[in-house]
Amino acid sequence: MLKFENVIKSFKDGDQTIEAVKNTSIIFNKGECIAIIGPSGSGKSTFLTIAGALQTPTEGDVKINGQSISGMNSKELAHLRLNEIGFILQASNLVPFLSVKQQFQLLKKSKKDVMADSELDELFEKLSLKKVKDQLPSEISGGQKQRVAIAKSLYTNPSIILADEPTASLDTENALKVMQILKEETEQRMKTCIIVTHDERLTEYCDAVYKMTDGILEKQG
Amino acid sequence: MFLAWNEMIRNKLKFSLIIGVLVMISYLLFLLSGLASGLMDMNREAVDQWEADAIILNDEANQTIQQSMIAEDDVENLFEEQATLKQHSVIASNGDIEENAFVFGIEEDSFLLPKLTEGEQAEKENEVVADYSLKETGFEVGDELTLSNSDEILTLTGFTESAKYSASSVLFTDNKTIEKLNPMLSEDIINALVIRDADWQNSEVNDELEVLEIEEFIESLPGYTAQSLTLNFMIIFLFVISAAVIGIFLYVLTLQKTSLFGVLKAQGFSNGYLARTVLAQTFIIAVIGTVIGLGLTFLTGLFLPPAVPVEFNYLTMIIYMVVLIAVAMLGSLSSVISVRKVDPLKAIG
Repeated sequence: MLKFENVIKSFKDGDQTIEAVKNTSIIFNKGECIAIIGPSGSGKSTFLTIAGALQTPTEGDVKINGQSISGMNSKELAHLRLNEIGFILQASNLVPFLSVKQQFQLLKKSKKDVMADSELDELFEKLSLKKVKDQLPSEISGGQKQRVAIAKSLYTNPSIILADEPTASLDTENALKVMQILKEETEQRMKTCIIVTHDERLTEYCDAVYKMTDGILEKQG
Repeated sequence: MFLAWNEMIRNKLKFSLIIGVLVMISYLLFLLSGLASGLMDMNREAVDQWEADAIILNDEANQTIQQSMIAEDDVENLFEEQATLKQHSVIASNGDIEENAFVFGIEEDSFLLPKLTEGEQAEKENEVVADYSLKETGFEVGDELTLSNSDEILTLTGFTESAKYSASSVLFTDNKTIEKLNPMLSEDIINALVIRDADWQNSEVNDELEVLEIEEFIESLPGYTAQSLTLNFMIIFLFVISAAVIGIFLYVLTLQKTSLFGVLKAQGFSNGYLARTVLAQTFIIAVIGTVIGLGLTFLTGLFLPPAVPVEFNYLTMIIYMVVLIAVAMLGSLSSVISVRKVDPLKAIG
């Protein structure tokens, strides 16, 4: 569960103080797939990076499965990210010199309680990645890269998956396929999934849609 | 190690070039250390063979054997073990080859004579044994040697282990023969007294004599300290240059991976893990580079002509290897610091 309690994030810009995220309180539950839409510069990415413990709020608190991130040092935040957060980024977040299989071996070296090998094989099967597991990121397509990124985000058994424009570099067919997989995996594995996107076609796969405008998050529909 | 090793495997050309630089640096370093050691040996080999604790010279001789004159009576039975030394410099020729040499006049069974490796001891007047370095230049057992500053003819009866002194070969003979070569070295006059006595500092000698610890005597050999300092400075500078070169290479490599490190940090990889990756990569590069450098050095040693004074001391080589690896690790510290500064927020946009 991810909980925002009166969260404000502000930045200094010369003499001015800019509030990228205005007073926000919200709870995201397990098994939910949430879309956050909004124009560029509206504060979506800032919201996502606070949710992902990449930065702490200026005011208020964020609790990830009951753990407050305010006051955590960078080492504690890194540990929390490794254990609780799975990132799927706009640009491929794969290590360029590791094969698909090795991307997972790397994660296993840092976190012990990852998926069992048989479970990973099933996930590869489901995501149609079996044939490319010995290939480098440069040798596979954009859609395959994003599917590997999804598999990576699930492999460490995080409770929260955060996706920043996960389909930005994909054609419609691949984009919808990736969303379908993300939706199914979130539900089956009881994860909280938050997707930041410009692409309103993706919202039909989500349980709720929020719109961020000038740092204010409002539920749609 | 996993990330470091796999990056190297997938980028063989890039890392081969970096290892190549390290191979060249370590090759130069090891070869220079071999040459330094060889040059030092050329000066001190004979003295090292004495395994002595100290040497007595005339106080006014400015710590050189040739300028020192001592009455043998002044130093009789002073120490546990002692050996007289008379020295004369010559240019020796066997008819074909001329070579600068020192003639050492020593007593029978003196500990100043190195182990015989070929031929027989010089037992009669005008017989000499030479140290092995003369054999390397072409002298042979049985050669009749003419001298530049004497009409005496010496017969070469054998060779001892290599025992150069002050960069020249040494001919060992008895006191009677050397007296013929240099009449100033009459029966009771010697140039120096070499001492084997751990307690030498507690023995009194007269005011006209100076007792020098053997290491101090070696350092006062003409040109020895200047040569040794020059080569040691070159070695030290090479270490510093190695650290800088490796540091710069790794720093550039780390800068190229800023965005990757940012993404890994966002995924929860700690600074410690990424710093260990950089250090592991440095360690692998340094070990491979220095081992190849060492191998090349020994290979070169096999093909160097005997005239090149090179002496590879295994212990020194291993110490230099360890220091070079440590220096490389030190050079990578700037990269480790830059890894700490990578902001995962910027890296993921």
